[in-house]
Amino acid sequence: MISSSILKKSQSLIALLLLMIVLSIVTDKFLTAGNLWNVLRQISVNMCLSIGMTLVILTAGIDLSVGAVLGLSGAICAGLLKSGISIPAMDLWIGFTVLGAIVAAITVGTALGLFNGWVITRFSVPPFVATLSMLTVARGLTFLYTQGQPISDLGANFEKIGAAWFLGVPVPVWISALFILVFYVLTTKTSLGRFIYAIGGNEKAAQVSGVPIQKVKWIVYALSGAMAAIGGVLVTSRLNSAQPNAGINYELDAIAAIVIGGTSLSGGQGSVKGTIIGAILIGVLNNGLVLLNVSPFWQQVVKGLVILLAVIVDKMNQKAK
Amino acid sequence: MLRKILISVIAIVLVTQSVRFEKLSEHVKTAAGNADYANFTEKVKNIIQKGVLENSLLTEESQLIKQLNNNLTNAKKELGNRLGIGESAYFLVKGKSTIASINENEIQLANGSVIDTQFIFGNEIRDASRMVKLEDFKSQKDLNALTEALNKHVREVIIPQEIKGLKVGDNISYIGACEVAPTDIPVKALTIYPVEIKH
Repeated sequence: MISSSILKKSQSLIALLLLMIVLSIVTDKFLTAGNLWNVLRQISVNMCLSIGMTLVILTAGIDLSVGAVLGLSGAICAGLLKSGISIPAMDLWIGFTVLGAIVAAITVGTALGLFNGWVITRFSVPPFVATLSMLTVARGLTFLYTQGQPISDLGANFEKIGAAWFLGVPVPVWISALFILVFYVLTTKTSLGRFIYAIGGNEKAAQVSGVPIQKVKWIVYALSGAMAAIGGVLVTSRLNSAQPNAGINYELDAIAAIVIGGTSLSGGQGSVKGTIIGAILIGVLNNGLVLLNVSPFWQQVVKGLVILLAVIVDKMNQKAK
Repeated sequence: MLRKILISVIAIVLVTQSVRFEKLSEHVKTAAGNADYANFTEKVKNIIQKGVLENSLLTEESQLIKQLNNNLTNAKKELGNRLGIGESAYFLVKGKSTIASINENEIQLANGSVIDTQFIFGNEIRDASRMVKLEDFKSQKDLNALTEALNKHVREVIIPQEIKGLKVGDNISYIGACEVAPTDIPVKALTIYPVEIKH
């Protein structure tokens, strides 16, 4: 007989399987190869955001700026690719290759994440407030940079990142799978991973034990920003265009995936594995609601209720312990 | 030491593979002939030559006005075209008149019509030519790129050559496209987007 602890640990996976079974029964379009690849392609952006933010939440923090950082990084990537940088005073033009634009976008995302970490540790600003401020700043910078206009026609090579297939699998799925592997190893096999859990479990105890709290927090927020930037590159490439309002509310889907995946908002508990299941569950839920022709307004309501349910279950589990 | 060397090598590779430097003045010159325009040059010339100048739908201005006012629906069906949704249609027109006045935006003709020489940004020439079909384009973006290339060619290549030296009182002949909506009826004169102006 399956023990109750195994059931508790696997509840998000069970929920995902149940949801997939129900959708397979109620709509014949769900269980098709085309649709399932589409779901995986769609969740690859949320996957990047949520595995990055998992580290932050494991330290008992939160990063509300990931959607806005995604938008800004995507816009910078597109802008550099399309127009480069002109320095009239030096009669100099710097053009960017696809690699250059991507590296620049990730650098920007990492720098913004690092700034979040610095503000949080240096001034003891609650992560919620610091990253909420960054959300507004990054969103404003995106509109300033793009002048509120999309940046389009970024070239066939760049478009391939979001649209092409490699060995029968969409490229964004390969990219998110690579980062899942990296973050899984980072959280389970490295001292940084152990420090992250220690800080989230009990920050004071971790400090006494010699865990470099400030450095670890800088790193996790920087990684969260970097993953948001990678998400921005994927979105921009998929659309072959940077939209000034890209990434709005993406942070909510990322938090939902993390919470549904069993990571505690209080920190110290959870895993990248759980986040993957949470992200897939959110993606399947989104896809199912679309296939069932549920109004977009009701989709928001359903998603909100699912997140609420996940948090309630998390709290009940904590109390039971 | 090895770590520093490795990081330096990666940094050098990243920089050399990521950016290229040009003189800004040289880059601006190159960028002026942008890719879309270059890609569509032949197609644009073909639309102007075959779709407008040699098109059998090209109608004398007075005759077109008469047909429009008699029965707009029939005129639209026989002579007009429009790719998108809307009440108005685009027509090919040729005429002769005397220049009444000229300014930087337009040529006012003695017969009341106007030749626009500045704001060539719409779909008049593209649609009136009947040479562009939606199914030939993979996306709206590609269609827009061709439209802009066509308008740009008219605006920046044809018109500056054709209006050089024109002055008030000159007798000219012209070929172009115009838009007519039901609210324009009865039509007395047209606004023409030219592809040819002869003195």
